[in-house]
Amino acid sequence: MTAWLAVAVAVASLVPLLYLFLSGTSLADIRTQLGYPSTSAAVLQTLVLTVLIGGLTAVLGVGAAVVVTRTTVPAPRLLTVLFTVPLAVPGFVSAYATYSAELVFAPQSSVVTSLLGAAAVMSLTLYPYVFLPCLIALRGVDPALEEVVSSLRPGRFSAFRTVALPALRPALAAGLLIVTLHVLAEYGAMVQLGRSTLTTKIMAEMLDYGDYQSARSLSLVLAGLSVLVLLSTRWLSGRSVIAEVARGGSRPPRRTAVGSWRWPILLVSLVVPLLAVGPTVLMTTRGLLGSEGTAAPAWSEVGVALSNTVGYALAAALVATLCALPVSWWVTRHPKLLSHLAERAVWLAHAIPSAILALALVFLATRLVPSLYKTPVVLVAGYVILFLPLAVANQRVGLQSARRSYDEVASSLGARPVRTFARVTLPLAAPGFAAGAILVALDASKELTTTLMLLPFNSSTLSSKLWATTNGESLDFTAAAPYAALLVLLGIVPVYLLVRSTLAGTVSSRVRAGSGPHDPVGLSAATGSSVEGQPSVLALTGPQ
Amino acid sequence: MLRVRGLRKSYTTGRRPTTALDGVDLTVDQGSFGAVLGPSGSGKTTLLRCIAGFESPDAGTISLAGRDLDSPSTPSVRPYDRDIGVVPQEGALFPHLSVGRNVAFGIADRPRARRHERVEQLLELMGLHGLGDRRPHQLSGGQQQRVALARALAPEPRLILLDEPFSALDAQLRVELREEVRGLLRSLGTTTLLVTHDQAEAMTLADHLVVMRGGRVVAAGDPRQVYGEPVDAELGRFLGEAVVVPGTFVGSGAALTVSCVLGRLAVAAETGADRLPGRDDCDVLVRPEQLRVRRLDEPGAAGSTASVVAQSFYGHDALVRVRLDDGTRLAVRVPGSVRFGVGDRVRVQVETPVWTYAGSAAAGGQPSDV
Repeated sequence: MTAWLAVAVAVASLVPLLYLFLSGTSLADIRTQLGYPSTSAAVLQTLVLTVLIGGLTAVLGVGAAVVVTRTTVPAPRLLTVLFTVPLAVPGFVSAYATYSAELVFAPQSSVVTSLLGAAAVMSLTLYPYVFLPCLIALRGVDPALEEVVSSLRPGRFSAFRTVALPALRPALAAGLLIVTLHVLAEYGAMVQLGRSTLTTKIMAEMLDYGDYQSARSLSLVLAGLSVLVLLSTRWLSGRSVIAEVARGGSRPPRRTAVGSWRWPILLVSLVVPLLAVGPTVLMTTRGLLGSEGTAAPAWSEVGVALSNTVGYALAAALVATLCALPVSWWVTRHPKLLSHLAERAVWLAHAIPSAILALALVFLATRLVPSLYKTPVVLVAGYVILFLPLAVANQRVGLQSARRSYDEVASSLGARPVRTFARVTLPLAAPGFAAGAILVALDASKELTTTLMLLPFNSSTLSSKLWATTNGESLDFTAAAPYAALLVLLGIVPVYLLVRSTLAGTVSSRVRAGSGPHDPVGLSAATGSSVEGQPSVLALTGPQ
Repeated sequence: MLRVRGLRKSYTTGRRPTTALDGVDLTVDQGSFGAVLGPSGSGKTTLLRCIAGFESPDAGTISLAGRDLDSPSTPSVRPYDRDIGVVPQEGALFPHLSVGRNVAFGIADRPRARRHERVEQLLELMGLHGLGDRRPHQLSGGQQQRVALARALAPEPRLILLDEPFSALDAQLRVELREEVRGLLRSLGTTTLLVTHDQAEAMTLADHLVVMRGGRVVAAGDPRQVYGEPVDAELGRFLGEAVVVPGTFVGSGAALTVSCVLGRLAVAAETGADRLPGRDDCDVLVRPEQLRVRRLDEPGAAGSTASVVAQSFYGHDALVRVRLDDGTRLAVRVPGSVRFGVGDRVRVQVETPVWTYAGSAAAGGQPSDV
């Protein structure tokens, strides 16, 4: 029963994509598309940006993780929080604010919209995806291993190289996977930064020209790139598995004394999050305080947008929770090939850029059920498919904390399955279920690309209203400020959850593991991640 | 009472099917304490899970008090209809419920007052009086196990299954708690089956001991008998410290002796029914308590000469590890007050009849634990 429902959910989440690509894609059209100079330029631009941003986020993320875990820098916990904060700001908000800030304070420079500038802005918002898994990996390394290595092999960095780096590799791969998928899927930020990528081209074909055939051909190319990324990060994460032999409590890792260097290091570390969120905070505050000027925000419109957003988000959270339940139940209670496949199918729909998913839903709706097109049903369906994995991953964590042995004991005490579920499983898994639902709601309310394409006529959400202020030439962020403020507030919640569980941290959770741990967001799973194991670091954040 | 006959169960993990249970028979009488002893991977946990109904066997029957729980003819009885209480390895107390509610979980259908009364009675019995409102994580490991037992006992099941319930506790507490639990279960007249890999635990607790290896039952009976008359050399070594040395039979019938590096020894029983015709070689099982060690110059010292290699002191007694002149290593149990120095020359003598087994011949005198 559960199995059939789970398979149904998995298939349903893939149907739009299958329909998009299987119903009349022509290779000839793809060839024609690739023949246009603007297309090949967009593909090249996409690749260059992917590489640049991948490199920059790797440096920033690993660097930040090393500083926090391996040096005697002051206030490492506070630094961890600060390094994670950029996640609270949606990419398109940050890019828009940075661009506006440049227009206001240094109108002639045009650094932000250059290729390198754009890569830097994107990297500053995306590096936490590398930072967090690397942080957990570095913390999880047993210091005893490093001590053994350094006792056997002299040399300052040999211990780090032979023990910590291999542990870092899968974490880095997982982080880079998310970063790269974000770069491929990003629409809003790329437009603000003046970059023309495959995704912006697809969106332009649809929104500006209404040319869905071209959009579909380009989508296929973009989907191909995503699959390539999925495969290459598998290779990057390597096959090495560090067996955990150690039992009992493990100590926190050794820190390198950096002496008087710690203040310069702290300073440089502070600059990174400041550059990332500074412009947004500055421009939003400025817009809210100085709003008596030209474009005062219409607060009633803000109210309508907020209530719409909340409504769609809650609907998406509810439906996603219900749909995720059979999948997460099946995969935790009956882990086998088929159930893992169902889970992977859900993730696959998530890994494909949201513009493609939106396009697929447009195709499906207009062709099969035209009456549903541009209604809340399709929009919510889009959110659900896009963010279903967040619900699945977090429910999984919840169900795992409701261990199977509890079910067994309950049944040996005479409780029938329904009572066992209601009295034992559900109360224990509830935090995970709630976390999943909250994250779906939050990500749905921040989502831009899907919203722009599927929003019902005459409706508005926070992100669509913010986006609307970028049309026209004022671009001074005043009109956008209230929406930006609300979006950032929404973004802070998952970041808070993430930081809390990161700080509660890997080391202690391993110690408690014997006595029935509660690991509400399940970060401990994050380090050994590959696409299919999708841990909840990924789970906390969908493409924005 | 509990009857298990011809139980089979195999798993397919990866490509290869592994047989966890290979025709297991087991009987536990009404009101008695049975123990299944085996190393990890012997199938003992699978056996317990089959009896509890968490796994369904591929073949065989399980019946409890005359009622078939698993049999080829009827559908398998679900765990919640089996009337069997389980105490899992780590207690598995429901972390979101108080101690009292944990204990009351299995008797939810009783009227409130009766339920309360029963919970209080059980907590009292377990020495947990006044802890009913605590949460499981506020209890010590030993207390958690007591609560788990109280919870299993609450609905008065016909059978209690204990899955290594003491293994997570420290040594001192383990000994205390298992004595206590045994006394309690005996006084309640509860039929119990314990699964463990700890031979001391199995032998001190059980009225009826079953030893499993590789999914089969290799020995069953009174613990004294299973220990004292091991059915093969491997079992002898598994149940306690022992050495196996090669020997040769001399004589026959009542005058049968075995000649080995320890001299010519009396044979308690020759279990080598399959002793190869025309061959006299065998394995001789010697336990530390069968040996007597004396200094070379002590009057009456007899037996093979050896040098002391080490002495491990346990308080009440000690193990002296010696090397015979041919290189064979042995452990000898001596009172704690006896002291030898490393390198002392001694004589080692076997004082009681030994068990012999049809030899693998190659089984040399190198025990794994010396």
